[in-house]
Amino acid sequence: MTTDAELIARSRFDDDRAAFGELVRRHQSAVRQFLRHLTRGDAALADDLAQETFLQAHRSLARFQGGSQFPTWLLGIAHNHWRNHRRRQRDTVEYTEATAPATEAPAGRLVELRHDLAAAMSALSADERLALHLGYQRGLAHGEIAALLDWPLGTVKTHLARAKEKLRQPLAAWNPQT
Amino acid sequence: MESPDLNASASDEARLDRFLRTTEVPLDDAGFSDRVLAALPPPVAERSPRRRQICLAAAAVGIAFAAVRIGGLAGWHDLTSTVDRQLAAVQAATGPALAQLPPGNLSLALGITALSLAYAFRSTLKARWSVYFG
Repeated sequence: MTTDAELIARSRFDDDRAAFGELVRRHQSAVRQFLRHLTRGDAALADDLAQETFLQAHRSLARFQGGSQFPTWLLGIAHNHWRNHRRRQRDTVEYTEATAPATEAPAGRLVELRHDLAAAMSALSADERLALHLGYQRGLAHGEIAALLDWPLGTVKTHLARAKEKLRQPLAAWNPQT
Repeated sequence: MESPDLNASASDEARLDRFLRTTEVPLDDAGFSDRVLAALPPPVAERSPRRRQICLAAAAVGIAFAAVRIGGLAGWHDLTSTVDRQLAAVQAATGPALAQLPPGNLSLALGITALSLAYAFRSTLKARWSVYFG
């Protein structure tokens, strides 16, 4: 399988549109889901911002030096676009729903767990949900989350600790020993 | 308050971490990638076809001018023979070490070409290196 580094090199030096298209296909889900967390479930807005993110990434490929992972770099661009949008709007967005899957989830225990997890996460603050999403579902380290969201490292750890504490009880039912 | 059973606490923590890592359902592309590609600006070559035509025309003019100046094909043969003689003289002057190499004019030409290409594309080579190797 072609690596991200090879696709980036082909996009940047040969203006290979097929290579850039493959990069978009690989990372569109992560970027769009991240933006849905930021926009509190506004899928249309998230997709608009995601498109701007990838267009910006195409223009700025020369600035990607390979120091950070490409997905993390994309999330940084996405976060900047969301912040600019919020600055322009200067409105608070009503929270409508937790991030919803675009496709029908497979039946079974896994979908039940996801449902319970989504219900439990609705009790968290937006920042706590965002920290959990980046830390556990995107697999970012605390330092990466802090750099991406421009939060102090202590704030990241606090949000994660509080979020886990709030979820412990609702998810205890999934513990086979209780 | 600490749990009296530390092993249970550690396993609870591990279980909670595992639940939290339950991956979200990946979003269907549903034409998103195609929309992004359609929104990209046209490729560089398509943006200015006239630039390529001008470069090709200038190259043709340059080659024609050089051909006229050296006197056509016969002049080209005389020129290459002169260059060969001079390169042979350089080879002889640099001593027996070059005698170990393929014919002196070829080695010298290859070496100069390699250095010139590396110098001309140094920024591109450096950038590709950083993308692949950080």
